[in-house]
Amino acid sequence: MARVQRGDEPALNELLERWRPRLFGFLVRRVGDVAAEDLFQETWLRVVRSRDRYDPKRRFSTWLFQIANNLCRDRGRRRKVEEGYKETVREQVQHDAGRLEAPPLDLRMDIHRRLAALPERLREVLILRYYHQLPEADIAEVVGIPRGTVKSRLHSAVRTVRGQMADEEDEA
Amino acid sequence: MSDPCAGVQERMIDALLAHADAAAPDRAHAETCADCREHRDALLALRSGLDAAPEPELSAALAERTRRRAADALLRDTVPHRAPLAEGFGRELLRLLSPALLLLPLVVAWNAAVLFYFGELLAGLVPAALLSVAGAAYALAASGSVALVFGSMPFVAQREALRRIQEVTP
Repeated sequence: MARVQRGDEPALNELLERWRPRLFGFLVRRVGDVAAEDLFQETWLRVVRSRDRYDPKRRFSTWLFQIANNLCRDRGRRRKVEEGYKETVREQVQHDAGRLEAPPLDLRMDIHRRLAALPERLREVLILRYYHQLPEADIAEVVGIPRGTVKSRLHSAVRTVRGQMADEEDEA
Repeated sequence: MSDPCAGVQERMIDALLAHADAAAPDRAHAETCADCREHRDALLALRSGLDAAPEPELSAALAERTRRRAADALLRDTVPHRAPLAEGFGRELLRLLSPALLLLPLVVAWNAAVLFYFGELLAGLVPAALLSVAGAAYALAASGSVALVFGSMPFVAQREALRRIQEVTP
């Protein structure tokens, strides 16, 4: 990142290549496929344009996810992306159903649906912790909440999803 | 559920979140406690579900498009935040202008009606010259107010766009 701050284009390409799968994975799980594509580009533009504000003492991952997460929130506020996410999840699951190596449809549908059904404040911490293995302190920085709140939200997210599963089993 | 069970179940959640197995004493406890066993089984099912979600793949075309845009911004962007401010500025200005333009005909019609009816009302009471001056002053004040509202919009839009950028970029 220090080289990017000096305007080094190959360094930017390396950075983008290194963080591409993780960032895109985060965005897709956070806002769905369609919005993720826009936000992926927007995040990198923000990284470039805000490079002077980056403090090299901070972890790059925390800064990157913070920008991405703020963009998700901003977009959600303005476009009510939650509804769109639920729709794109259905589209994505139908699209994935054609892949031979894909896990069973109902299992993936379940988890997409359950993640989408979580309130944003729980979904963002669960995705950062489970899929990206960010430590609680880093999640606190990304989301802008105290570390204790991260822990309680994580447990609440797991219990909520667990509760949904139990309810569905009871109904079945 | 007893307090030791609460602790065991919390630690099981921590283990799930860290992609780790529950600690041996907690696993042993779960074998003897129906509540904790049920909790453990539910977490195992949840883990299967979370792991079953495929890793999203970014298309090569989008990756290349992003790389080009970011590289362009890196080369061009001698003044940071200039471009995002411009994008946000346009959106904010449109958001302010849309309702104002919709209301503008009403405002014009209202002021024209005020001028006309007060002119009629005061025609016999006030000298014509004074009435003309008062009418012109009213029209000038009304036009000035409208100009002030529309003229301030770019400044408000710029401030709002800047605020949004600062909200998003740490």
